[in-house]
Amino acid sequence: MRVTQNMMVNSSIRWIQKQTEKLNDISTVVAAGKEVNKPSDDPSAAGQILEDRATISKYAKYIATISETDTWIETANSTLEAVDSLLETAQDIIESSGSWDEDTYLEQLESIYEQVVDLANTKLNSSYLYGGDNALTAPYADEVEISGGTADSVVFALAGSAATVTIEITDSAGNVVRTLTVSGGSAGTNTVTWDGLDDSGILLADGTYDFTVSATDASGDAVAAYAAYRGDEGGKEVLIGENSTVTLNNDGSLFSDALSSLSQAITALKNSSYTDDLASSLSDALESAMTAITTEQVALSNVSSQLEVADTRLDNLTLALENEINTIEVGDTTTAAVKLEAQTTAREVTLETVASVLKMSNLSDYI
Amino acid sequence: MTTISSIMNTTLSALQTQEAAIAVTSSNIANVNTDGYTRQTVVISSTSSGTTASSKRVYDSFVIKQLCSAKETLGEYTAKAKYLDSIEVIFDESEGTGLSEALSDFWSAWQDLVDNPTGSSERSILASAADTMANYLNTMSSDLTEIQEGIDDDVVTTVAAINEDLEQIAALNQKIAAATAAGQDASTYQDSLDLLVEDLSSLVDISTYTNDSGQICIQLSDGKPLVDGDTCWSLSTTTNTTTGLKDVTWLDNQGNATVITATITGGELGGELEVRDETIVAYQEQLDTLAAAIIDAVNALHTTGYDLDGTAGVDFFTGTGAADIAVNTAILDDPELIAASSSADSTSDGSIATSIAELQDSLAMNGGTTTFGDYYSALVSQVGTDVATADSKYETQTDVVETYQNLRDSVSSVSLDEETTKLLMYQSAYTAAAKVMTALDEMMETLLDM
Repeated sequence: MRVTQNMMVNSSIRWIQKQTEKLNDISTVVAAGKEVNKPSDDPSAAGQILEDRATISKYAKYIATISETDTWIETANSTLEAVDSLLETAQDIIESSGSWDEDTYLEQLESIYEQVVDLANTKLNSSYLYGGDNALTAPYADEVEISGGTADSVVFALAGSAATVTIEITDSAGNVVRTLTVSGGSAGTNTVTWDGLDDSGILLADGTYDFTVSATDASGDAVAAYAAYRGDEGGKEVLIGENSTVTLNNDGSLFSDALSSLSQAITALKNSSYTDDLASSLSDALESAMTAITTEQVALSNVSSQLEVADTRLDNLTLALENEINTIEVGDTTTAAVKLEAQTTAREVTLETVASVLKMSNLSDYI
Repeated sequence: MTTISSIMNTTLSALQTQEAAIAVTSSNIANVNTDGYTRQTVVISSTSSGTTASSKRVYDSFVIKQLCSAKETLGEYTAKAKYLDSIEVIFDESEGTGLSEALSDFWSAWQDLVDNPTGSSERSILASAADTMANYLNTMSSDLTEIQEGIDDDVVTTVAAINEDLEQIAALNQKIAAATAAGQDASTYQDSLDLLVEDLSSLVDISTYTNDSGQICIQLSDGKPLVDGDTCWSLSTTTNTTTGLKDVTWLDNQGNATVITATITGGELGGELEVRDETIVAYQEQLDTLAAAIIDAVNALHTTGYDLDGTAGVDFFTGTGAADIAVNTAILDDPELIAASSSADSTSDGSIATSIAELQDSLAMNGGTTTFGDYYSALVSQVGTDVATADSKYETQTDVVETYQNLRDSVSSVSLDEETTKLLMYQSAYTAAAKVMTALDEMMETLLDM
């Protein structure tokens, strides 16, 4: 083929461009420390990296959820343990009924009742632990709310059926503002509607009002009243993996039987109607309440170990994905460095060649 | 009968011929670096009264045709590679930021809400994560539209460049015809014409033929004439009422416009139209499909839920595609409207939030085979592949053009060494002729002195 100076010059320019371009590509890899710097560098790797990153961030979320759930379980566990030991004390008191000073014991049982209510109302991150799906409402509280001029119903629980129930509603200063008397009440949760009016028929201001309940049966004997469980069955679902959830029991009705028994003991003491038969039946009831709590603790520890397994698995998966990203995105830096060295040399050789081509003498130099 | 004066005439023609040959050589040397210059060779022929010299362009029309067609393909790939490179930036997630991460954050925020369905900070974070995700889709969609509109402007520029080439080609055709008729040298015009046709080829797909007068005639690939002799037609653009983008039209003698957008497939114009009307549209569609699927799936669940006040859930997202997806402004204003609960009575139930959080693993795309995240990753992969393909085709085509350019140069470009050699050859022939003239002069003197 006939070759002219022009062709050689054009080729020289093209070769310098090509070598410089290659050098630029390799130096980008070395400088950025990554082989895949934009999708077109390696389209399938770029897609894979994105998928892996999304998966890692998903796993990180699961891991965070698991750790939050662990906190929930720990709080629940210590709550249950405290209730359990309180109930044990209560059982001791009730069983030792032969030789007791009624006032002291009454005081102790009332305090235990209050503490169990407090524990049942334990909060974590501003929501109630044992409120079922009504985590913003205290599960056990003898209180009723008026909002926007409308009063909620009064909700309370009775240990047995009653003929007459008297509800005294008090304001924040402790003054009785309204007394509701209803005839008939059944064992368990009762609901009485309230119009929000005080005794003189005036609508009370919005706010929370406490109430106390006293009840008597047909023969005029006192019926024990206690705080009703205001939550529901609930069930706290936690996502701990792809389509894998664990459900934590947050049904606060767990404490109802204990509160009923404690209230019965307190009412009997107050009314001096305490009998050995009652003591033994209450002791049995407390025993079964404690068994329920222990069962719940076992269930929690099962969930806890399930979480631990999931946590370890997610940690391992995350590590594997990070390694994969490292392998495809970062590549082998040593190889890249060597390539850079080789490419620098290749470019120098090209430049030298071009220089000698351009310095090539013409026929006219010899004439 | 041979006379001294007839020999003198022959010698004179020899001197003139070598002079003319040296003139051609000097023109070649002078144009050694002229773009598109076709070298000329001297054709010396003998006549009854001595010799005569003429020049001829050294030219291979096959190679020129191949070069033009290679340039047409190169023009197309140049345009594609240029635009795709700027599109790729939109999908660049190499730093770990972008839509993919925004999507992950969005699902995470739902999971946070599952852990604490009544939490107001969880609700605000979710609303803003959703807003960020929607904004990413909006931005990507509008960035693509911006590039599309940029290409649309380029189409108008390219059409103007094509028209300019057509006018110049027609004008040169006229000059060539005139020069040929007058028996003058038209090679300068031929060189310019070749360059213009090469340039036109890189702009749009054309076919060419040379007519009997040595004029180049040009047609579009569908046979519509662009240049016939010294007559030229022109292209124009008109706004398509459906897409709002420019259609390319061909104007006939009466100035009636025919839309020819679909028939243009090569050259820069072809590349521009393909990226504008197919590539970008396809990416937009996929983003829209993704956005619409997220909108539908999230809304379908969200509207079955209940917010913190126990009111039935409103639409979480508004909009129908990537361009207009947005978080319902009511929710942005008041995140308590997020319907996490499946029951009006249970405010802290999170089962709707759970279902929505689980959407991230649901095979909701591509007819139930792909998750949202993977669908987007596949789109990024596809963009990457398209860019890599365009870049590598561009590289390859550059080499092809280089090869034909070399072939053309091999035939037509000037070699200084070659010209120097010829110069020496013509010079010594001239010297010899001059020597003959001197001898004849001496012979004449001898004759007169007799």
